[in-house]
Amino acid sequence: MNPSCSGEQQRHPFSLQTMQASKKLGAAFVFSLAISMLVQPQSALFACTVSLLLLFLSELPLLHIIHRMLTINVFFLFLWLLLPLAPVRTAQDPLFSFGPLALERAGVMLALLITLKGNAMAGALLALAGSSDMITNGHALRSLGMPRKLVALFLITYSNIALMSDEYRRLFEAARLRAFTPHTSLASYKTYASLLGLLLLRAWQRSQRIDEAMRLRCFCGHFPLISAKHSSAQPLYSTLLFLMCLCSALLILLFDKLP
Amino acid sequence: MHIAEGVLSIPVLATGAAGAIAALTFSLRLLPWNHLASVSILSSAFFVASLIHIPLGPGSVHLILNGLLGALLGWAAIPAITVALLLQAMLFQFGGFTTLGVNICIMALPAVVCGLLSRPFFTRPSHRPWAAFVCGAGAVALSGTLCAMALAFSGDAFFTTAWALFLAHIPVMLIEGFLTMTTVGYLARVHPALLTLRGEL
Repeated sequence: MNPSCSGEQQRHPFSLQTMQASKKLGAAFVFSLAISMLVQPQSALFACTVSLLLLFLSELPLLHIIHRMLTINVFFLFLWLLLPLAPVRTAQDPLFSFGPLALERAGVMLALLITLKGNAMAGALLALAGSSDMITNGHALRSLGMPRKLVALFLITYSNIALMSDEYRRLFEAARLRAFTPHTSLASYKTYASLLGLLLLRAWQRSQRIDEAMRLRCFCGHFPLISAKHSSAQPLYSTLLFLMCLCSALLILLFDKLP
Repeated sequence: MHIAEGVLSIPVLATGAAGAIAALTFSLRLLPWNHLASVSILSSAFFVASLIHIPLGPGSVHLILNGLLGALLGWAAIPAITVALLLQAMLFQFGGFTTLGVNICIMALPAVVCGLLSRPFFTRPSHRPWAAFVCGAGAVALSGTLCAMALAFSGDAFFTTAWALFLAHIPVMLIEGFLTMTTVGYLARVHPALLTLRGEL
């Protein structure tokens, strides 16, 4: 699921993959919070350049980054279709009109601002959270003050997603071998509901077995940290990264306040 | 259903964060440690189920299933949905840290409300189908309403977008209602104990 975790190779000292996940998540939060306050497209563009730098430092595969960013932009495409359009009669400061609809300048600027902000935030999150595996991120969330129960839920849920996904794939394959072809019909939806029910049933049975096994091993809500990546993380560079994100966030906010 | 980063205004984000923290604190206090594995694994099953694409006309829609999750897990649906949203943000960058609070309110509060209100009717076979339909469809309708409200409160420019988003979810409501009804019926026949989990969780 996460291409960043595959293989141990020599990385340069500023690679995000060698840095502490807690500092990276803290930086992502501070940076996102600052960007959410922006009101000018120019400062949002400035934020996008910082995100691009973070994506470069993340050393994630280029295709993975392009795929993620394209998927995120589907929502912004929906906004571009709705925000700038207004009926010709009520349109204020139209850029141009076609038939009964006109393209408003204010709508275009708002859609542009949201797209730039959304891309900057998503890019930073992809670089900072996507450059660690989810188990390390889970432990980092705990060190950032997230409740222990929620962190335990996060870790167990993540560990079981691949298993549940395989389970669903097996069930769906079995249905397909019995000539099930998905299409828009009640019969098709009933089959999906049965698959869903069966998936939940298998999940419940698995959870009972895991629960018993965990109790036998005296589980009390604490997961020992076994990730070698976390222990080898570089604290100095991680702190520098956090400070860089903090300074960038403050600079962008100051730039946004300029008339 | 959940909202991407960069869209909502600061007051809406702050209100959502405050609501989510209150709901999470309350629900985590109710969740005992010994049920953590059960909730997590059901949560992972729902995470996988929410990625399933159901055909609708020439395209497809993906499931939300917050009504069914609320019916099965009760208050534990709030941390389960929080974890799913966090994973979606970190793995796929759908949503993010600043919109997490609003998205928890949009997805988890309707799940708990519809789950708690419809659950008493699940024990009677004659009432079960419609109660399950209302639970599934109602949770999506409430989520759509909250989502549209979050957009509308972020600025007048979003009114059309909010309406369009709500109207786009009407087919999803009907499909979710039907799927929840059929799934609850299936679970009632095959493993009725699953429908009485909420008392334990």
